[in-house]
Amino acid sequence: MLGTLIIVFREVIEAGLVVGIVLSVTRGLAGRMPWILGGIAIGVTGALLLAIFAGSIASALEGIGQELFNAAVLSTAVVMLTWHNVWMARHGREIAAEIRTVGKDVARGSRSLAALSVVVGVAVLREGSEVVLFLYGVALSGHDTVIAQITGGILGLVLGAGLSALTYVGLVAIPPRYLFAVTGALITFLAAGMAAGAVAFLEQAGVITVMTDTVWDTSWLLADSSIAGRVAHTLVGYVDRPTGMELVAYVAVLAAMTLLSRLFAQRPAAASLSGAAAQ
Amino acid sequence: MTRFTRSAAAGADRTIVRLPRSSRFQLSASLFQPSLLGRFTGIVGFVFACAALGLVTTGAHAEDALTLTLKDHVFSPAELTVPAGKAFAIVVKNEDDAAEEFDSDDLHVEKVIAAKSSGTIHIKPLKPGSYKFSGEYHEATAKGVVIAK
Repeated sequence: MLGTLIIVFREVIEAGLVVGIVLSVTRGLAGRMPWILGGIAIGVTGALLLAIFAGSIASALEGIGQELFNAAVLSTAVVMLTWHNVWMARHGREIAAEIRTVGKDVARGSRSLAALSVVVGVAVLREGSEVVLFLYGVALSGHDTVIAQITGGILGLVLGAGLSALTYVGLVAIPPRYLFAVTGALITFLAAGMAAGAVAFLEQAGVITVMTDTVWDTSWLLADSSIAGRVAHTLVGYVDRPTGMELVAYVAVLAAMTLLSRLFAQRPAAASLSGAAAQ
Repeated sequence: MTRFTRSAAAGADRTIVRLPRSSRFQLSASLFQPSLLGRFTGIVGFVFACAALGLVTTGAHAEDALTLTLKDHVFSPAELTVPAGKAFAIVVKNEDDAAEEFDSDDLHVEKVIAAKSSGTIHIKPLKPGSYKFSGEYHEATAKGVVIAK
């Protein structure tokens, strides 16, 4: 039962932390709940489908279908997170100012919400399918411990959701003035970690074969397999033995997102000047 | 400052007008205006095209394959010996009725192998040493080690 609890807990916090961050990021955006809940619902449905078709996906494309699928899913999330941060760089100031006036501009906010909805969906999809496969296996084994295992699974789910909720509460306790700076940084690290994850899957598939040497080993300090390691992995993309190419992807996404957000940031003086330039 | 602004409004040579830094930036940015979404998509598309090009050039490679069988949540053989410094593949045959995730932090891989099916895992060249692996869903029984010599 404890084993089941830990496995489910581990998968749930990975998806849950992403949902928690997205919830805090979208604070003040009207109509966010349908998008986020929609993302979760699509993720859960997708996870069930993914679990059913796990075999055929795995054997697709000369046996590397699963790796390519995972890499594609992660890359999609990276693009969506980048898009959101760029959008936030443009409109974050207004939202921070209007955070109390709910329902100000649904139409404008929905673009970014759609992007984050996809991010929530893929996070739930990936971790959810593992939970489904695992619990299905437990149910199949038909031992007399099945009830205990299912109980463990449910407890893991509740604990994982609880930890994610705490993250959310912690994040929204940050004053609005700083909230977007903090969540913007969180999203950037989240995306960089996902990009490195996509590279790891491509290395595993044998698609990327250059710079695959391990750069350092900090497993003695914080192991990937530990709960703390998992949380660090989800939040900032921590890997105890990263390869060269993973580091390249990580730094590249970090730099690209920072640069794009700067590039598209709306400066306060811009409005008056564009008027002058038009004359 | 006020003087300069007035001359700008009168249509005087704008290059000598000292605009605030951010405003100057905004002027140049407006030259390639379209929409924010359009520009963003363009940049992202370019990055992905570069990445795809990089992938094609890295290409595939030949490697030896070792077979690992999973039955009753136990791997056999539990110990695989491989030459160090050479890429190889592990073909995991899952003969159980439940899916299993082949998981190894040491080897830096994780792959779900569906029930009654097999999956190939590509491993990069290893330094001499031992690398533990396990079946994540049945860690108590499904475990083994790759030894690189």
